[in-house]
Amino acid sequence: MNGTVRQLLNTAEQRYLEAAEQQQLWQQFHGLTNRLTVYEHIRTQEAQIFRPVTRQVAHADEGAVLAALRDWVGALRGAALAMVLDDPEFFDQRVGQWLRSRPSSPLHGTLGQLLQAQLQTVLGAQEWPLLAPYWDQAQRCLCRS
Amino acid sequence: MNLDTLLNQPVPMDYFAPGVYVQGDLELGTLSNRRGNRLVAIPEHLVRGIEAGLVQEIGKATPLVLQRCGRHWGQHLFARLAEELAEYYGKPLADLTMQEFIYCLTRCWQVHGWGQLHLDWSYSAQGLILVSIHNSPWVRPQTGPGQPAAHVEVGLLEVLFRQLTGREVQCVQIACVSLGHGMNQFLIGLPERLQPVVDWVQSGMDAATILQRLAT
Repeated sequence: MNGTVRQLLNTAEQRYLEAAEQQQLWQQFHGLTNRLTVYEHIRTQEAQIFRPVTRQVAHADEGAVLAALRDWVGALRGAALAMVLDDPEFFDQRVGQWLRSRPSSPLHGTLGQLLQAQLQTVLGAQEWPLLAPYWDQAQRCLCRS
Repeated sequence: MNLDTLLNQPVPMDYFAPGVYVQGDLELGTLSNRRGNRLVAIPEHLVRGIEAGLVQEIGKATPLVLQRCGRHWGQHLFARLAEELAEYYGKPLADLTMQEFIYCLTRCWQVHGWGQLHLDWSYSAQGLILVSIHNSPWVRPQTGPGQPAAHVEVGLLEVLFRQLTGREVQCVQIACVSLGHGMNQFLIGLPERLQPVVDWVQSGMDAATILQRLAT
């Protein structure tokens, strides 16, 4: 649950929500349906997002690529869910702290850049901006050097 | 393993992530972990009550009994960690990297409300590990002069590290919130390495001086 909704629910414990506050809830509701559409797109296109990127790093050590890819798969799944919930704190608590504890590898940076380009292509100009803040969060966790 | 296999399976992340690990059932009035094992939130007053009751009943033997309690707890905690982490990450505990295991251990502390655990390997050349715990629930801050008093944690850490290292390591507390420090600090190592530290603590030496002596 994101901060805005949490705050509105807390307010509603004391009194009925005013029109402007109800409007905020409507915005959250409409935003949620849009974000769920993007989430479904990412889910169904996951292989199409990762496959071309994997081919581009085929020359690197297979074990290292697989370890870095596993981190990015987890990062994208976490970022997608945090996007649906519109909750950066959710990403940090569920995924971010774990990603920050992963052994740093130059492959994280390489894969991160390639994956971002691929995500922008697959999601397009309408959908990418919804995921972008959470993808940036993942990048900050995994690309520390 | 190829990409398709990777994408068709869950990617284990943070086992102890808050919100996932601890779950409550209001109807049953219970808390449980993500495997359904029951958890109990013990009020701070009960912790203090147990200690006060022990002091009243057995006096000077209290530290030994509390340390023994910590050891029992440590044995069960290690067995539980080994089982749960192996199941979640799909590999035996021994196959987790040290980084992964330490991360899980510190998150385990946080999510159960046992404070913030930090391991410092700076003294590995001396054969010692420095463990710090902020916000420990086991000791009341500033209770006056004397010896470090986090006996439960001493027993717990000693057994945990014995299980982890397979060696008969010991644990000595060098700083305690009861003596006005900001955290509890412990040194863990083999008895022969630790003996000078035991003597220093008993003579009333403070943690900063002990660590300084070890570093030189």
